[in-house]
Amino acid sequence: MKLKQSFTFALVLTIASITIWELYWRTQTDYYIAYLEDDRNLWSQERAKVEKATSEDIILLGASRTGYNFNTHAWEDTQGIKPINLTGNGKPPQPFIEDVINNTKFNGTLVIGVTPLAFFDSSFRRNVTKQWVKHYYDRTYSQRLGFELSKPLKRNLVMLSASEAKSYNDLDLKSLINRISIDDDRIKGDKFKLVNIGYNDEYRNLIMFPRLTNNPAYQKEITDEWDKVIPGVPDYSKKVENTVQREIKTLSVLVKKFKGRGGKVIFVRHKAEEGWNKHTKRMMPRDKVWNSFIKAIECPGYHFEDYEFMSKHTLPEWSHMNAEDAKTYTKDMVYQLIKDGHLKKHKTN
Amino acid sequence: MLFNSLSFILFLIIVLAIYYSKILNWTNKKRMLLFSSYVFYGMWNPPLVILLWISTMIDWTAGKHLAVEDNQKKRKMWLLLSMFVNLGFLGFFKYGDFLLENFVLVMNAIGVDFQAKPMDIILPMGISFYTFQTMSYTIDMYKRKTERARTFLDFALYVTFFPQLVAGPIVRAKDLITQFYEEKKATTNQFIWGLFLLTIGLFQKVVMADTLLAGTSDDVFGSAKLLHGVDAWVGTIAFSGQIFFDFAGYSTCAIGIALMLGIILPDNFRYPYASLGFSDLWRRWHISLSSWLRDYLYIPLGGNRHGITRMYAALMITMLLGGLWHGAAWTFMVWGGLHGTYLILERLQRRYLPFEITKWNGMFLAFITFSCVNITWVFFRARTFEKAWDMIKSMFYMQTGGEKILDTFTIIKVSTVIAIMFLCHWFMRNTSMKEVSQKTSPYVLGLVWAIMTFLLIIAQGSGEQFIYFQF
Repeated sequence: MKLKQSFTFALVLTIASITIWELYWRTQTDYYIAYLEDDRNLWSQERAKVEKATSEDIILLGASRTGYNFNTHAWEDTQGIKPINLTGNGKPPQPFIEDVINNTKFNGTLVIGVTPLAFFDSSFRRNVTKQWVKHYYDRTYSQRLGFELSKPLKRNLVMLSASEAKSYNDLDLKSLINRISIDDDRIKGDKFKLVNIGYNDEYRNLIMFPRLTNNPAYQKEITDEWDKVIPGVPDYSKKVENTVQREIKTLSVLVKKFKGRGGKVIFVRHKAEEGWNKHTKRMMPRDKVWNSFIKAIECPGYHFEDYEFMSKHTLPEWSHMNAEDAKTYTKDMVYQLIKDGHLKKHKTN
Repeated sequence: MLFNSLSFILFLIIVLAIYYSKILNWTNKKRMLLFSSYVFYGMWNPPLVILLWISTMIDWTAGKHLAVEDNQKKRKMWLLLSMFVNLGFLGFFKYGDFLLENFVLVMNAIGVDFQAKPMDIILPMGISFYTFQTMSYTIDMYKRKTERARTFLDFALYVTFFPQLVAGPIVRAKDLITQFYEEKKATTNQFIWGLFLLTIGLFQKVVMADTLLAGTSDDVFGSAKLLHGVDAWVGTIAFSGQIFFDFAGYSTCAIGIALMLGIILPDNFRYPYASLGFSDLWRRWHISLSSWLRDYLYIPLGGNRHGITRMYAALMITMLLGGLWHGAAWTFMVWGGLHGTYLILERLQRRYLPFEITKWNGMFLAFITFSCVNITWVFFRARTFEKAWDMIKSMFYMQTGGEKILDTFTIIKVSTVIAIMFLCHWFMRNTSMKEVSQKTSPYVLGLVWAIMTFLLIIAQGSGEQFIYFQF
């Protein structure tokens, strides 16, 4: 066996093919960028900050709208404190809220984003959120080291664009293979494609791809996907009411416990447009859900319909803000919270 | 630490760099390997290294006394101590909750109102592997089949050697300890071949098992619905492939890594899905466990020395316990029981309906064997009997109207991968990878190696745990 020859040949071919692969994806600038993926490891790194947080600190919780719409750098510029960002893209926040309230001594401020369809439906992806909480407690030293080693690679290589959610446009082999489909209706359903609409910085701020801001073709690519699933939500009914009330009851107990140790909670209902707004109103009308929730929970609530600064931005794909609008929106929100006495302004640079 | 992780790559580079540097003599290199093995294990859960130390200390002490003691009674006591400690660990950590759960069930069944909170005991990674390995040493010492390890360092390294510590192959003392007596250094060819094996092992795990098959198997076995027959079969064969690539992948990595250090580990898989019958299967699947069970359970139970009935009983007990070794659940016992039944039926067939295996009927026989093995995997993979029974009903069309959850592309993908795997096993069953590589042009081998490495890199494995770590 001429193994040396085989090894050398394999090495040359591997380096060449990986280089070509990387260079190719680097040309797809509309879709791909090298960044440290917002996975359970990055979340755990952020979650660890809660252990040392003081009553002056703020924790952001919520799903993707809170992740895209709030920018912690803009927040810090305005208030003087960088919030701990524990939002979760595609993840309802309840398990995170439970974790912070039940497993820590944190007594600062929680700012919680509410996306009604995900927030009040206990069957919506809670297990995925729980896995991240579990990972924070169970992660091994090997996983921590692996995460540190992966950072320089992910920061610099576009071909490593992938997510735990296995989005349609990820670049790992599994996602690439899953793009292949045979349209023969063997299984019924909407065939929803989870398309990644942005990336994140290392403080876990979600940033929408610039291509979505002004290009209607890209926007339609996403809104077409929303149109496959959102119309399927049921109308408001007794069943929905019971589900919502159950959630309100559970959250009320948690919030009471948190307030009991000096903590403050603020709820924010971010803007939604078109299909998202229409079908949310149909399944969870404001007067029956949001109003009832804010009344029961006895916390300040900010609804986008009540404040001009919350509804003035156009959402490129009906649900999330682009990066620039997110900064303005964050600043306006922080000013409002300071004005209303919920936050204190600290020295800023 | 997982082989398919960045931390392991860094760990291996450091270990190899120190191992091949000239700063350490052989004894210190062994000390370094031992220390590295504890780091390898401790990076998962440091306190559980203590279990390894206790096992090592007890079996070293027992072995020392078994080597010099002539009094049969005392010898037996030392053996029993070793077995008590090792099986005690296994019993407590692996079967504690299972035993408690069944105790509660029995109590309730006889009318005693007794409830117990699950103990939620953490399962130390690879405990079934290292306890079996270290027990083989004391049993062989008791039977005077092996010599006592020359030094404690050699013995400790035998128990803890990181390439095969958590998922085998389960190596006998005489095959591994003796390799530690003299300085080992891989030749250039051995080192490159070891690296090639490591690549193949990782490819099997990351690309074949995790990327191509695991999703389908998880979807099917995780579904609460009653499934269509095609979906149930495809999910089952996907798991069949997944578990092979996952476990054989680990063994191949272990053998490759050891070879890079100049240490030779035995084969653990020899193209098992092309087995001609079930005796053949167990000579090809997880060879180090099946030979362990044969030598330390089946033969002591009487083997084939006491008549047919006793032989069948020994066979069945061995397979049932082999099933339980894999996991603390009755479904694993059924898996073992099915294999025991297959083995008994095969022996009956050989006795009453013998036929010659030719090249014409061989492939058909291999396919039948593979199909029967797939049925057993249903019980291995399903978390409950209800799910297993639903799957069996779907697979044999004992119910109609099952739901289709797999799309056409997934069905084609899984079927193609499994068909290729089966054919590869068939064509490779009487040869080995090394033999084939020797006949292959170095450039073709290099091309195959490059393709595997490329796919491995772009697969971006998320560090999925090997299935056999839980055993």
